[in-house]
Amino acid sequence: MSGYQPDTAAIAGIGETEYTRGTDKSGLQLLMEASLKACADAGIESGAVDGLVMTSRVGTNEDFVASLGITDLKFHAHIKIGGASPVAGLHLACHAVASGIAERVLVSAGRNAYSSMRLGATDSGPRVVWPGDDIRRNLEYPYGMIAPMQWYSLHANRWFHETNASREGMATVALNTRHHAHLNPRAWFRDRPMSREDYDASPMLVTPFKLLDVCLETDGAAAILVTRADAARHAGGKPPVYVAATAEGHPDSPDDLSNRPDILGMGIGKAAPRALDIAGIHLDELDFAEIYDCFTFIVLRQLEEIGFCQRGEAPDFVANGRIALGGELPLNTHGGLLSQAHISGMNHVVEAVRQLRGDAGQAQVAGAHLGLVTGYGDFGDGAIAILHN
Amino acid sequence: MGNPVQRPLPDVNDPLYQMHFQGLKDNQLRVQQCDACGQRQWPPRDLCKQCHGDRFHWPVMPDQAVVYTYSVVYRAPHPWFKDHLPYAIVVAELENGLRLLGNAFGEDVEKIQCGQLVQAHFQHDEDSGVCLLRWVPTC
Repeated sequence: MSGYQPDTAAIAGIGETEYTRGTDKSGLQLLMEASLKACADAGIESGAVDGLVMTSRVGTNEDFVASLGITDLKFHAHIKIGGASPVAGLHLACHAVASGIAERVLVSAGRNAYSSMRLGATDSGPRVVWPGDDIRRNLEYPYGMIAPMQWYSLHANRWFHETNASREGMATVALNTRHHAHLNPRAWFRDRPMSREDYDASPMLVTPFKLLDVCLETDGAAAILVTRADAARHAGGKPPVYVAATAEGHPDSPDDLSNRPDILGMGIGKAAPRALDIAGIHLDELDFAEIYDCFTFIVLRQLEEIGFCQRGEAPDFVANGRIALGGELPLNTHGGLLSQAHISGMNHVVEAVRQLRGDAGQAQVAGAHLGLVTGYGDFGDGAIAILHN
Repeated sequence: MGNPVQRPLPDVNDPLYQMHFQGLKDNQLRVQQCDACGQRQWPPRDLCKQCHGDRFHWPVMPDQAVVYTYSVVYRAPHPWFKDHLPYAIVVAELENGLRLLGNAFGEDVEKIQCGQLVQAHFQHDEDSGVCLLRWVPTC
């Protein structure tokens, strides 16, 4: 028993900054801008926020209290599981409002990730500290395994070996995601076409990842305001988006891929059945999915571990337009991390809310009622949310 | 022209890793084994994952292994590796199931496959006194 009854909590407000490469704003200023917009969107005064879940590497609860004018903070937490943090933050916020420890919980993500701290940086500037820092420094960095694309390639190459998965799937995800970005005026690559020839010609960085399999780094922030669903209905903002279920999961040996007994195992594989059970739905009922996409291949692997198909079958699952707008399961309708922006996946949550409000513009999924959002972080942590209108 | 770029080096004095890196200097693969229950584990941890014991010894492992997974790197994530492109990262599995990560350099790196047999080589760096692990295909 999770203790969470479906639809107890709702997302009452969303906020986003512009997504750019280059900014004169600090990471904190971006976070506050998105947070103020989320409060305004929910129809509440920012000072009335009484819970904070922070998922960014910048910002403290004191920073938020000072900037937003919060008068009575009842709850705060930091979540540090990389790209799974925003959805895990939503998970925690829902349980916080359900339990009554706070009523208006702000979950925020973002930073000036392009202009300041780059994930791949190792030799100069501020260094991102990953989980298992002693393993990284002693057993991986000396061997030139330093950036996420190298870690995840170990998983990818073993996946190809064990399953004989088609190599086409990664290209399908890259092209589909870029196509959706062209429908989104807030996407960094909104005007940048990508052809199959472009994909094939993009340079190999680390087998099997080409440049166009890898996400963007951008400056920006996004935030959501979570309340009890009954409160959201009376707040005077937009219609609430209900949270049917959320869950978080961690792989075995979460700080070490090399000695994970089953390197294909991921946190989402533990979290997804929990969330589906709480929500009481089946995967074939979903109208769309916003799947964390730091790499094309991680989208394929999550689809498999969630249970849309068996291991090795995701390249076939995504083929023939199934994940395109108008297909059976439109996927990453905003352009994702690959082609919209890298806001650690909070942009995926924001997009799911837009879809369920009917506010997704040209990328609107007709009749969108039930959607899935995932997060993936660090060495395979996962989080999942099932939302509906 | 300034100082040459140094390879990222481990902290060979880190108590949890010291015996492993001393082993490499002696041309030996040493891993962590629990004094209490005999569980071998890698990477080294503060506690035994089986019995939670906190006293360990460091037996020598056979120096042959099988490639569990790998990565071939074409864009260097650190300046030192620029002169070694493409290079491979090899995760090789010992017969007891532990997997040790090392490098492969040279013209054969693009032929590396899962399941391939590899042999440990010990790459001594005279300037730093640190020795690192290389996995070299045996066929």
